[in-house]
Parts: sequence; C-alpha cells; structure tokens
Amino acid sequence: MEMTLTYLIGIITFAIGAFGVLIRKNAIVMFICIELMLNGANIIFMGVSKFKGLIEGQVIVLFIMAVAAAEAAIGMAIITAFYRRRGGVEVDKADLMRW
Amino acid sequence: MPLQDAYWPLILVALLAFGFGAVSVLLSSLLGPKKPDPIKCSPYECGVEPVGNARRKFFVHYYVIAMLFLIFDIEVVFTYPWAVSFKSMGLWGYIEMVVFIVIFLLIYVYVLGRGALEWE
Amino acid sequence: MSAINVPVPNLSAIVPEILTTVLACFLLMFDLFVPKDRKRVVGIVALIGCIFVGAVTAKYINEHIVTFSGMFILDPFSVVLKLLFLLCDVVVILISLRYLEIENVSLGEYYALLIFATVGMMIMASANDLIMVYLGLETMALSVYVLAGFTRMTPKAAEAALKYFLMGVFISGIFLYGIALTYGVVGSTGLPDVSQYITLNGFKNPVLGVAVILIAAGLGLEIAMAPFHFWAPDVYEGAPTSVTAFISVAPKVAAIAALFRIYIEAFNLMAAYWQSILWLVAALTMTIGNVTAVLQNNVKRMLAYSSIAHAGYMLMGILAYNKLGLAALAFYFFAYCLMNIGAFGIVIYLRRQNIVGDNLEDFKGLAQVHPMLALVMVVFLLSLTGIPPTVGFVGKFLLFSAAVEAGFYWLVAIAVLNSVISLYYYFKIAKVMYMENPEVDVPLSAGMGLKVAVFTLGLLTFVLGIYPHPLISLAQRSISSFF
Repeated sequence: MEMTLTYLIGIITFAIGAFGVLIRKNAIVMFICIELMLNGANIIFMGVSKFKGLIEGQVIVLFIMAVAAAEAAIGMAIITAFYRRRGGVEVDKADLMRW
Repeated sequence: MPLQDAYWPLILVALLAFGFGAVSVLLSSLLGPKKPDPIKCSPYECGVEPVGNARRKFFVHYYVIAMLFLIFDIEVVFTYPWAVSFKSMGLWGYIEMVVFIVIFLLIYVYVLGRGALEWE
Repeated sequence: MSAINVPVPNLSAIVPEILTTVLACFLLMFDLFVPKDRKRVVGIVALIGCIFVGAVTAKYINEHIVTFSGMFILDPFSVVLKLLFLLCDVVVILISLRYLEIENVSLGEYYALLIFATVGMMIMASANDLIMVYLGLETMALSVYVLAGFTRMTPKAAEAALKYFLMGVFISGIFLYGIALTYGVVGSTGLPDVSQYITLNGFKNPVLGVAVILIAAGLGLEIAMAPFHFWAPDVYEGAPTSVTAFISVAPKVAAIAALFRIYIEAFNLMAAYWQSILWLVAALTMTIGNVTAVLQNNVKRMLAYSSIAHAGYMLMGILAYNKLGLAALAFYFFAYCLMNIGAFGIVIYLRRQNIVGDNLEDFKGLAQVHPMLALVMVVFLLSLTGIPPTVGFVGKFLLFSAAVEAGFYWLVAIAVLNSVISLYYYFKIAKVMYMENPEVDVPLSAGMGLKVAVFTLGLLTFVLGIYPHPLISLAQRSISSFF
C-alpha cells in the first residue's frame, strides 16, 4: 500500500510537471514545471530505494539534485539573456524563426 | 553506552555553539568602533531598502549571486553523505573528495577572476 | 542499509576523461590571464590540448576495461567515438578562431565549453549504466545550451538558446523518468543488470515497454529524430555557425552511440519490440528532414533539415542490429563529421562584414569568385547526397547494405527515395554557385585555420571516398567488443 502510494505520488508529480510545461507560456514557469518532473522521478527513485532496500537510488537522487541545480543556474542565465533581447519571458515571443 | 550518556556530546556541542555566538556578539560590541548612520540603523533586509514599493526591479546582479550560491550550495549536498560514511570509504574516499573540492576551488577562482562577485 | 563500500576503481579506464576535464579547467584558468584582444591564444592552446588528448586516447584502442562497479566501460567502440569527438573539437576550433572575432564574441569560455561538452559526450560513449548516460547527456547538453546562445547580443541566438534549453531540459526529464521506471522494475540501472532481468523474467511487464520508449525519446532530442526534431532547425539557424557545425555532429553521434549501447546491451531481448518502433521513427525522420529541406532558402536551415535526414539514415545502423550495421554506423559517424562540418565551414567562409553567408543568394557565383571553394563545396554536397567518389557514398552504401542484410527492404527503399529528393536541394546550392553571377563584391576574408580546416576536410571527403580502407579497418576494430 505504502509502496503503491509512493509510486503514485511520483507519477502524479511528474504528470503535473509535464502538463504544466505543455500548457504554460512563461519560460520561468515552464522551467519550474520541468523541475517538478525531475522531482517526480526523484520520488520514484527514493521509493524504490526504500521499499526494495537498495542504496543506489539515494545516490542517484543526489546526482539528480546536482544536475537540477546546474540546469537552474544555466536556465536562469539563458532566460535573462532572452529577456534582455526580447523584453519578456513568454515563449510566444520567440518567433523570429519558424519553418 | 547508556542512553543519557549518549547525549552528552550533543549538549557539549550545543553549549559550544551558544558560547561561540554569545562571545562573538559580546566581543564585537565591546571592541568594534561605533559610527551609527541611518543606513546602518535600518533593519537588515539583504541589501534592499526594507520599506517601499514591492514591485520595483531587482538588479540582475542578485540573480548572478543566486546562481553562484546554487552551484556552491550543491557541493554541500555531496559532502553530507561523504561525511557520514567517511570512515568506511578510507583514503580513496578522502582523495576523491579533495579532487571534488579542488574543482570547486577552481570555479571559485574563475568567478573571482571574472569579477562576478564585485558589487558594481 | 550498510554503508557504501567504495572499491578503488581502475583509473586507467577514464584517463581520456580525466585529461579532457583537466584541459577544460586549465583553459578556464588560463583564460583569466589572456588579454581581451588575444583570446585566439586560448583557442590554439585548446587545439594543442585536444591533439594531445587524442594521441593518449588512441593508445587505448585495444583495451577492454569495465570499472566503477560496472558503470563505466572502455572498449574499442568508445575509444573510436572519443577520437571522433576530439576530431570534431579540433575542426570546430579551427573554424571558430577567426569567426568568433568577426562575431565579436572572442571569449576563452567558448573553448572551455566545447571541451566540457566533449567530456560529457565521452562519458555517454562509455556509459554502461543508464544514470551514467544521463549524467553525460546533461554535462554535454548544459555546455551546448550556452554555446548555442553564445552570440548573446543577437536576438536570434538568445531565442535559439531558450528554445534549445526548454526542449532539452523537458526531454531530459522524460529520459530520467524512463530510467526511474527501469530502476523500479529491475532494481538497478546497470545495462547488464537490465538484460539479465529480462532474461530471467521475460518482458511481459508493460512498464519496461514504456521505459524503452521514454529512453529513446530522451536521446532522440539530441539525435533530432522525429517527432523530437522541431527544435533543430531553429537552433541551428540561430546559433553561431561554428556552434551549429558542432551540435549538428558531435551530440548527435554521442546520443546515437548511447542509444545503440542501451538497446544492444540492456534491451537486446526486446529487439523485435524496439525495432518495430525505431523502423517507423527512422522512416519518418529521413522523410521529414528531406522533404522540408526542399522548401528552404536559408542554407543553414537547409543543412539543419538535411542533418535531421542523416540522423534517420544513421538510425538504420542501430535497427539493422548486426555486425555490418555497427561497423557502417561507426564509418558513417566519421563520414558525417567530415562532410557536415565541412559544409558549415563553407558557410563560415562566406561570413564577412554585414553578410551572414547563410542565404542562398550569398552563394551566387561563388565559382567565379573563388573556384576552389566552390569545388570543395560541391564535394561536400556530393558526399551529403551519397554520390561516388566521396566518403558519404561509402557510408551510405554500408548502412543500406546492413539494413538489407537485416531484411529491412522497405526502409532501404524509402531511404534511397529520400536520397533522390536530397539531390534536388543540395544541387540547388551547386546551381546557384555555378550558373549565376556574383551580386556583391565584398572580398572573402577567411583566417588561416578556417582555410586549413575546410580544404583538409574537402580533401579527406574525396580521398576517403576513393580509398576508404583505413576508415573501414578502424570501424571494424571498433565493433570487436559487440556480437
């Protein structure tokens, strides 16, 4: 029961994140949703690690946290650069190139 | 070790922590020069004026510092599990951590050299 | 749970990675001491460093070491790929040296980021564990996102970086989820463990089926395979041309190699399942790439679509799942690196004041202005189309025959049809170069490095097309650890 619940929370967190990325237009909110997706995966790793008694899952979570931090730093830099050029962080402002 | 004895180190550390804090506050108030001015007397709010319009813009510099903080913050995430299993990892674990920290030191030198921490 | 017991890993397996990391860190430090107008020195140091690392890496070509508790593998295939990445670096640095000065972004970080991206790709090539693949992918991708927006003052580059970043991070989240699902089912992320689990329990578990698709999706973004190709044309157009040359080759090769290793080592028993998906994906990728390229008037964008199409051809190498397929894939990686970076090099060659060099008009009458350059461009175009006597022909021939050997007749038919379509748009460029008169007479002003790079690549594309033996023997050696 607990195990299913943990997996379910992981899946729901991931789904909320993925859904948010698809419907939101603000680059920063999209990025927050992506972090939510990563945390959904993290919850699953932790759940498996706890209920199957495997320690690797926890190590993997540390790696993912580091990756998420690096992504956040670089993402903020890129979004700032875009904001300076286009005066907004809405992704529909990114329309210089299509087809 | 009986349970109550196991807590002694904890109490000791707590006393040390309080003592250090109290002594440093006391010493700085005794030894430090006192030149009050309006800015110094205002409540500390991370460098921003505490009262005013909440919708004003932040300096980009805050974001740069925040990004750097994020990166160095994550370093600590890796040192916790290392500290817990320090003994069982032996010399090799120690060398690995030294390499890891040296890389962070290089980043710090780079950040300093690029002038990302200068407030202007 | 017991404490982690870390055995000392066999460090000789990661000597290339260590050296590359040291090189990148050194470049960052070295850059601090180089004055602003002489950043070219950093590039030259990076160049020498890459050649040195390549020379050391080449010594490991016959080794087969598994280390870091089976997470990391050094085999001939990975060594050959590492050499390819370093070759890409060398060529890209050569074509960037002067280009960056023209674009006014001559910064030392450019070279450091290239090398950091290379570290990530090397890890991907050697990863024997899904998490290692993920970490390598992120190391590479994060460096490449920054490179894509390196000319940050131009709005197009900022837009390209944003698009690339959002897409890349989103899809890498999906990839990670695929890994999490695999870990949940198998209880390990090691490729051999997954294979062992499937051997013991069969693959009735539908979660594994989902994981196979999610993992392909995650790597599919870097490969730019349909339906994850939408970002590619925009990013390739907006990014600085030298970076476009890099990201159209190296990350793509790394991702295909990682996908290959995952499918062959971990999901080998599910071959029929992933082959049925990948078949469709490969056919879609090459068709979308070629058909859309026909409509383009911007050469960078056209080459972007053509590189999508080439990803489709390369997927055939994984699909074939036989000895010839892998050898053909390794061969095609090199062929693709030579001809694609070469073609982008020519676009850079045309970059001069106020002219970006990526419009079809900029190629007008190139045969009169600079006959040698036009000739080299024709060699690259022939090679990209797959017409003898070029290295692209040999590569395509090997790939197609591998697919035929595996019984994918329809796919090969589609691929051949696609090659015919590609002939049209590649020769649109050739036609403009030879049949029309030049419009502007701003002289070409290429630097030494660019000249050397473009003409050497042209020569290699031609010579290896006539005498492909050295490359074929290298490709054959690289497959010795599989099958």
